[in-house]
Parts: sequence; structure tokens; C-alpha cells
Amino acid sequence: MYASKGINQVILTIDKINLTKEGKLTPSKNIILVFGLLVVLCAASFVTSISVGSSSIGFFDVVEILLGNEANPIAYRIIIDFRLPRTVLAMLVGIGLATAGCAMQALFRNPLADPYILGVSSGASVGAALVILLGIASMQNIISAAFFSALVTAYVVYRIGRHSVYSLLLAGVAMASFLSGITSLLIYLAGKDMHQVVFWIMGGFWTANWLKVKIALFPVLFGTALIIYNSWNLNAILLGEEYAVSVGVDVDHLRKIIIACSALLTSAAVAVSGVIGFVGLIIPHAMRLIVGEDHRVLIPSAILCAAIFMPAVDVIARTVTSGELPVGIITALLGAPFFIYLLRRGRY
Amino acid sequence: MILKVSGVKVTLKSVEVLKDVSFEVSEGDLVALLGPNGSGKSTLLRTVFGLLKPVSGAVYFDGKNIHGMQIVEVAKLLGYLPQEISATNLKVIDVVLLGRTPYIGVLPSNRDLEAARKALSMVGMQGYENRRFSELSGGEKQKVMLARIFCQQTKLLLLDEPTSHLDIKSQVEIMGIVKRIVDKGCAAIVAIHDINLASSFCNRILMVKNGKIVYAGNPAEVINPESIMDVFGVKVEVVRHRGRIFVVPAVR
Repeated sequence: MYASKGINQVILTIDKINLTKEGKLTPSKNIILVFGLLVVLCAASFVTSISVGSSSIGFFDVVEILLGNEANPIAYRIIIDFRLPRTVLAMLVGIGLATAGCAMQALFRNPLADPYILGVSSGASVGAALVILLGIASMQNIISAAFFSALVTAYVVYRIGRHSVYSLLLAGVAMASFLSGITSLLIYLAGKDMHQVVFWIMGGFWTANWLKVKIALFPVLFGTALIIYNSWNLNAILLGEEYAVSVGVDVDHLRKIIIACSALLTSAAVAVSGVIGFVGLIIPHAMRLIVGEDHRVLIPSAILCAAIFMPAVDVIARTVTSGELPVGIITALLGAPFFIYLLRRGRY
Repeated sequence: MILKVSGVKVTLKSVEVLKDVSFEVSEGDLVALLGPNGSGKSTLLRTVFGLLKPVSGAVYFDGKNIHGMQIVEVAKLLGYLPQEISATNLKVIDVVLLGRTPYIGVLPSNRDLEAARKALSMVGMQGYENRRFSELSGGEKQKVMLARIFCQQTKLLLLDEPTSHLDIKSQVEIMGIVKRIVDKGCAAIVAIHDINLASSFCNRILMVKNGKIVYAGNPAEVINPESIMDVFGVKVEVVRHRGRIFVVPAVR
């Protein structure tokens, strides 16, 4: 709960900044302040996520172990083998989903666009279900099947709907419901073996390990970097596609890059953590309400916010009950009221 | 002569929207495109900017074919203002800075910021830098758009109905700014509906009907009850007073 309190703290502080904004504070100072807070909270969320769990390890012990102190071998192993990969994976998944969300909302100029709009999540589920049905369900196989079927789905949706933004949105919706039907059929046919597929529908980090971190690392870093590189062009597209062309942006090229990056980010995230809703939709909106629509600022701040939010939510998921709650439940229960609060006081 | 449009034919979904359009624009020209809705004014501006490819004919800027260039190169030569612009919460200064896009690598520099500030004061909008674009009035938005084009440093402006939906003061201000930019050694083609506004500011008029330029010349030559009846299908009186032309509806 520590980290979620922290998020509220940011909002309160920013309220104060807004009050004095009409006076002297320049906006760049505001933004530096926001970023400073986000970085501090990010570090806090990181350490909290490593220290809290079924056996709590003290804050300073965590810092010592992270710095390489192996004095307590049990605590060392818990942190290095379980907590650290879990926290890093949560951050990577959050970063991937939030960056893809920012880019998709700008590209579609539609506030409801989210990273799953290309049917990626249902595509991943079909891949995972098929592997399990065929009886070759090692973790590596499930992850790679989910990853590639997600990418293929995104590509098919793009081919069907590439003529306009609206047909792309609708092609994504149609493909998602078609593939969900297939997944349900596979679950029905296979019976009790399919509990593993439920993982993709619920989403969570309880099976996190270093292999998953390795799989997610490159796609997330690459996709995020390429979207950040295009942040100025995303600003141009906010005023309309024809406007972006009028200032010299090759919109067709940009659209391809952004969709490919989003598909890569989302497929990687879904393959290692299942479907975690809401993060890709809400974090970009929340940061847009706080720092504005300029993607030079928005994307980095959404990345930091996701890196705070995702591990914090995972901490709640593993501590609030004796077992493990799927993270998707917490993101919805915590994210939605927070977002409604932002919406009521923001200028949307 | 900086722009030469020769024999341009454009079809959209197998409908011929532009039929053999030819004209030229020289430095210092402020050209009004007059014509009813759907006559092909916007299509013509889009084609000149390179957004639409003609099935025959070509558009030359300084002797080079526009349709053989990359869009980023076209954007350094031609400043195009589309009719419809989406709402955005970007700050005014960031919207103006977008005009520097063809010249910047990844992000704008301080030099670009300086150019954007200069452009804003050129249109009389200094002090609006940190306002949200979506919070501006219609006239203010169009002035910001002109500042954007101004810091794009193009030689020819293509403006698609920049004065529509504006009050008379804003209309006059917008056309005044366009005239000032043109007088600095540029040229402009402006799609416009107000004939009196066009004849007050523009030195040349092109009247478009069904995808063809049917009348071309200076306002005094082109604007008369017969041409307006022909192009718009409406009866008007044209009054000449102190060397100026006024078009009023013929109502009895």
C-alpha cells in the first residue's frame, strides 16, 4: 500500500503546483519537479516490491543485498532468484504496455485505443492454448507460441484494416472476438488441462523468472526506444493526419512503425505475463492529465509511472490475501477509481 | 513564376474531380480560389501539395516536379493548411514549433524555439505561448496556424478556407497577415468563400467550376454578375466604388 499512497502524494503536490502556475513557476520547472517525484517514487516502488512478500526482508537489508552483500544467503536467494526478476518483469511489462498505449492513443486520436486494440491478447491466448492442447507445454514453448501468435494476429489485423483508422479499430475488435471464440473452444475441448490458459486471461507475475525477463527485455527496450524517437512526429499527428503531412511527416511510414512497435511491445508483455488490462489505457491518460499531451514529456513520464504502478500493484496482489490475486483484478479495482478521480478534476 | 500547374487531371474513386487544370503563380501573387462547395478547390490544393497524384499533367515548383519529391522536401517549399484540424491540448508554442518539423532531426533545438517565438509575434500572438491550443478562439487558432506556416519558411502558402467560420475582424486580420507574408517575397493560394474579402486582399482570382478553372484574372476583370451567375448560380449586383468592387445579393 506504501507505493499507492505515494501516487496520491504526487497528485496532491501537483495540485499545489497548478495553483501557483499562473504566477511565477515556469512549466519546465513543473515538469522537472514531476519527473523528480516520479524517479523517487520509482525507486521506492522498486525497493518496496523487493522487500514485501510472504517473508518480509527489511528495507535496508534489501538495499545491502542489492549492493552485493551475501551475508544472509536465504534472503539473498529469495531476492535474486524470485523477488528481483518478478519486480523487473513487472516494470518491463508496465513500461511496454504504457508506451504502446501512449502511441496507439495518439495514432488513432481515440481515447479508447489501448495496446490490445490489434487483437494481440486473444492472439496470444490461442497460441498458448494450442501448445497446451498439443501436449508440448514447456514454459518456453508457451511463451514463444503466445509471442508469435500475438505478432501474427497484429499483422493480420493491420493488413485487413490498413486503409483507415476506423477499419483498423473494427478489424481489431472482430479479430479479438473471433480468437476468443477459438480459445474458449480449445478450453472446452481440452477440459481440465487448460487451467494454464486461464493464466493468459487473468494475467500476473507469480511465475516470473530471469528467463522471462530475458525474453521481454529486448522487445520492450527496442519498441520503447523507437516510439520515443518518434515522439515529435506523434505530436504532429495529434492535429490530424493531413496536418502531420503538411509539416512534412510521412504518415504512412509513421503508422507502420508505431503499429509494429506497439505489436512488439504488447506481444512481449502478454507472452510473459498474460493479459493485464487497463495499464496501457489508463497510465497514458493519467499522465496526459498531469503533464499534458506533448509526447516528448508524456512518454517518459508514462514510462516512469508504469514502472511505479506495476510493481506496486503486484505487491498488493501477493500480500492482500494469503494466496496470489491476479494482477489484472487489482489494476482494475485500483486503477479505475483513481482514473475517475483524475478525470473529475482534470481538463478533459 | 514559382509554381506551374499544367494540364492536371485528378480522379477520386473513378470520379474526375479536376479536369485539365493549368495556371501559374509568381512571387508576390496572392491568389484567391473561388468556387462553390465541391467544385474542386480543396482537391486542387491537395494536389499542388503532392497529397494527391494527378492521372495526367504535373505540378512544377521552381521547375521541379512536386510529385517526384519526398513529403519532407515538399514541406520545405510549400506551406499547406488543411481545412480540418483535430483538437489538441498541446501548448500554442509546441503547435507553432511543429512548423520546424521538416528541418529538425529528432527534437527541436533552441534555434527552432526562437524561430517559433518570432513567428508568434509576427501574427500578434506573443504572450499566448503557454496557452492550450484547444482553449483558443477560432480566429486565434488560425493565427497560430499561420505562425506555424511562417516558421516553416516556405515560398508558397496553400490555405484551405482559413477564414471560414470566423468573425469579420478575424477574417480581416488573417488575410492581412497572409498579405504581409506574401509581401516578404512569397506567394499564396487561398481557397475562400467571401468574394469581397478576396477582391480586397488578392491580386488574382481563379474561379473553379466542376473541376475546371473557368475565369482567371485580376478582381476587376473577373468579378461581374455574369461570371458569378455562371460559377455560383446566384444573381448578384456588382457595385464599383472608388476603384473597389462590392458584390451584394440581388434582392428586390
